[in-house]
Amino acid sequence: MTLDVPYLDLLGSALGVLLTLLVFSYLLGDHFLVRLVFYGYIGLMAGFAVVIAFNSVLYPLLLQPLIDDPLAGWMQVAVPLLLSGLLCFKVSTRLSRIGNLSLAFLVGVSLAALIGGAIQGTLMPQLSAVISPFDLERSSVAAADRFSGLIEGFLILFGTVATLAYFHFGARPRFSGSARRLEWIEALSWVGQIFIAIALGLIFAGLLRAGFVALVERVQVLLNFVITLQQGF
Amino acid sequence: MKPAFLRSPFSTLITLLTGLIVLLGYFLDFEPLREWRFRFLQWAILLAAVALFLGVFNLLRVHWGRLSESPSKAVYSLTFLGGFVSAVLMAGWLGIQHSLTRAVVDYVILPIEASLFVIILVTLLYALTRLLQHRLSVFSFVFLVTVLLSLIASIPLLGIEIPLLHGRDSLFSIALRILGTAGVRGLLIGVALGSVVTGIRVLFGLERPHGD
Repeated sequence: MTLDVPYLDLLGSALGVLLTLLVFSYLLGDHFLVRLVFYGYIGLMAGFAVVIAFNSVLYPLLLQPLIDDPLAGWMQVAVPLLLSGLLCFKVSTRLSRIGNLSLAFLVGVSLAALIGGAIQGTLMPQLSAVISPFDLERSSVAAADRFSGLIEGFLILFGTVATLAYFHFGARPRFSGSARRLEWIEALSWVGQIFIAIALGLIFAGLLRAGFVALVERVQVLLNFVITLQQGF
Repeated sequence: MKPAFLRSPFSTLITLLTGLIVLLGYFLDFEPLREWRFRFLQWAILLAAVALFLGVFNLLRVHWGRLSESPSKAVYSLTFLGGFVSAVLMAGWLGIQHSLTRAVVDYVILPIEASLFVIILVTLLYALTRLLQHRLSVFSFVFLVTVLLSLIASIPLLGIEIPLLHGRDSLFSIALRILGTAGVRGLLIGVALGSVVTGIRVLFGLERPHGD
C-alpha cells in the first residue's frame, strides 16, 4: 500500500498537534509523556548539531585538505589536528590536564574575538551614534529639524550617561565605616534606573509580542487540523 | 593562595600570546598579523566543533550508562538515544535537504519549539503578575507602564487609533524612542565595557574561569 502525499501531510500535522498539546500540558505539571518529548527533542537537536558541525566545519577544514592534496594537506592540518587531539584528553578525568594547551588556545582566541567584537561592533557604533546628533555640519537632518534633533541628542546623551552611572560602583569609605557612592552619582543612578526600567520594559514587551505570535500560530494550526478532520480530509 | 596566572603559567602564556595576536590583527593594518588572526580564528572554530563533539559524546556516555544503572530513567535515555541516532542517520545519510529530514523539522522540531515559546510567554506573564503583587516600586511601576503602553500602542484596539498613543509620530512613540534608545544604549555600552574589562583580566591570567 502506498500512502498519498496529503495523507502524509495529515499524519505530520497530527504529530505536530499531538506534540503541541503535550508541551502545553506541561503548564499543568511535569509528567512522563512531556519528559519523553523533551528528551527526544534534545536527542534530535544533538544529532543535527553533530551533523551540521561535521559538514560545515570538520569536513572542510580538517578532511577536505587531506583528500585534495595529502602531502600539502598534512602540513595545513597538522597543528589543528594536534590541538584537536589534545582537546580529546579532556574527556578523561585522569589525563584532562593534557588538554589544557588546546583550551588555553581556544580561550585566548575567543576572548580576543570577544574584545575586538565588543569594541568594533558595539562601543564604536554606539559612541558614534551618541555623538552624531551634535555634528551639525555632517548631519543629514533638514535645517528646520536640527534644533529638535539637538534636543533629542541631549536627552539621549543624558539618559545614556545616567544609565551608565547606575553601573558605577566606586564608593568612598565614611567615618562610620560604611561605604557609599557620592551623592550626585547616587542621584544620577536613580534617574538611570528609570531609563533602564523603560529599556527593559520595551525588551519585555517585544518578547511578549513574539510569544503571542507563537501562540496565535499554534492555535491556528490546531484549528486548521480540526477543520481538516471535520471536512473529511 | 597563588594568583591565577602562577598556578598554570604555560597555559596563561599561550592564552595571552594567541589572544594578543588575534587582537592586534583586528586593529593593526599589517598583513602577516591579519593572516595569523584569520588562521587562529579558523583553528578556534575547528576546536569549538571538536568541543561540541566531545560534549555530545559525554552526553551519550551518560545516557548509555543510565540504560543499565537506572531502570526508572532508562526509558528517557532510550528516547534521547533514539532521537540522536535517527537525526544522525537522517541528516548525515539522507542529507539536511532531504524531504524526510525537512518533514522532521516541520512536524516535530518546529511545533515543539513554538510550543516552548508559548510556555515562556505564560512564564513571563506569571512573572509580571508576581512583580505587581510583591515588588511594586517606582522602577517596577515604570517597567509595567512601559510594557502595557508598548503592547497597547503596537496595534489599534478594535481599529480605533488613539491620537497620542498610536502612529509613528505620536507623542508616546517619540518619548519611547528617546527614553528607550537612551536606556538600551547605556546598557549596550555597559555590557561592552564589562566584556572588554573581563576579557582583558582573563587574557592576562588575573582570572581563570575555565579552571587550571
